Amino acid sequence: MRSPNKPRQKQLTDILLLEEQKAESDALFLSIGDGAIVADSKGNISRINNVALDILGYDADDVIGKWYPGTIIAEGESGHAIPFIERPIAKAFLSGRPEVARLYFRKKDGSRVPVSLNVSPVILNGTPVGAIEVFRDISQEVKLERAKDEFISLASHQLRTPATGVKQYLGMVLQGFAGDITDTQREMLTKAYESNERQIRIISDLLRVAHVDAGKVALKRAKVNLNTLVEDVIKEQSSVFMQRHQKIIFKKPDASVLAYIDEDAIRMVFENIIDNAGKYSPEDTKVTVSIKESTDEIRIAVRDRGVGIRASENDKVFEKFSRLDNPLSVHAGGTGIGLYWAKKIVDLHRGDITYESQENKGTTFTVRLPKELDLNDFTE
Amino acid sequence: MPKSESLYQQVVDISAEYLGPSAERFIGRQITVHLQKNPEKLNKRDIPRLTEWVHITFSLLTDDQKLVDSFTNDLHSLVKTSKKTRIPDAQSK
Repeated sequence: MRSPNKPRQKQLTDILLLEEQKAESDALFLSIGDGAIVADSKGNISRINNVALDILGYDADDVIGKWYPGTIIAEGESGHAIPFIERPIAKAFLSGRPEVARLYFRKKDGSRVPVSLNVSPVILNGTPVGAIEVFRDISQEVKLERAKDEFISLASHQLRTPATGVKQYLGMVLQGFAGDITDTQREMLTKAYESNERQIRIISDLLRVAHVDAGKVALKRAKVNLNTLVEDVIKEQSSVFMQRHQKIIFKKPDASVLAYIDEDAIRMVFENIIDNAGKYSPEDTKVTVSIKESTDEIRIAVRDRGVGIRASENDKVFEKFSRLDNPLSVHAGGTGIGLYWAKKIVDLHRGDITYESQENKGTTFTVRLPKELDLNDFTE
Repeated sequence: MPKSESLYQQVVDISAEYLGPSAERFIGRQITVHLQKNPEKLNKRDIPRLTEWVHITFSLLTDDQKLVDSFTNDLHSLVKTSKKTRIPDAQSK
């Protein structure tokens, strides 16, 4: 004979089990060592752990149930609030992938704290139910980076001023402002002038790298016709290519390819990659530039038939001050920061630079620029 | 020959009222990334799932839940009605 209380007992057991599971879930969430915020399907804060509350200076009651993007304000380096569409949590749902970012949160007391965060959608049985954002306070790291970058910037400025002075006076002597000079003197002074120009270029490159490392490069984006931009860069470099007896071919798309980019910065990226392609290729070879556009991205490829990159040097390609070991590097010149800087700029555009290479066969560098939704898409 | 508007285009048309010029890219992205299908192949069975994703994504762009609900209700209505837009041919003008 069945006990009449059995269904009720099962119900109670189920309730106890659920409560136990909830308590375990709460304990797990609260024990996360970094700040953690969970937003529900309406974008409201449903959970926040103590580490997050400590970092932000809020009490739980200040934030639970409140709309997350409007309650926890995120800012960029400049101090301007990041638009909602550009917040990592929105991007995670626009891109369908977890997002990683460094930004500043505005604390309750009005001050701001730099954080490194990652955010992912939370999916339950195929249904999006919210998002979880985990972040940590990186104030110490930012302080150290700033100190390092300020040192480099100061040192570079202090070096550039006298170097520029030397250039000025060498130039004046060469132009005869100090009277006639002998051929031997001219030869020596010219070499000094060229060395000094190289020195100034190195110092300028160091400054550029210091700026981008310090996060001081703020992109000035606008809709740019990439076909025109690439054509301009090729035109500028055409005389150098001619001197090297090299051809540069642009496979221009039939339709205009528009990208929302910082034109000056991306111009320098293309200049760098195309210049490298020529420098690392022998005479009588050709470099081919192509642009391909898909729904989500634009790919710009620069292909050379040059010396290629050895597999053993793959980890040096995008490193600062790294010069790859190859037969033509004696003539290549440069400070070895071009690709490092180019990668930083493309990273800021949330794109990437990759390459494929075969020794003595050539290299293809591909710049990928995502076609992202941004604030201007809503207003243009 | 009268043409009927695709379901995807109907979704974009509804979305444009809430998202402006970004509607097509927003919706295209939601379908491609979350439903993992070609937007042009969107069918009525996809609408409930699409609406879930649109709801949560749009909720992160605005705190106006009435607006969010209005948007998702409008999308849901596509499942209930069989909406066709006739493009009049030249002779009927």
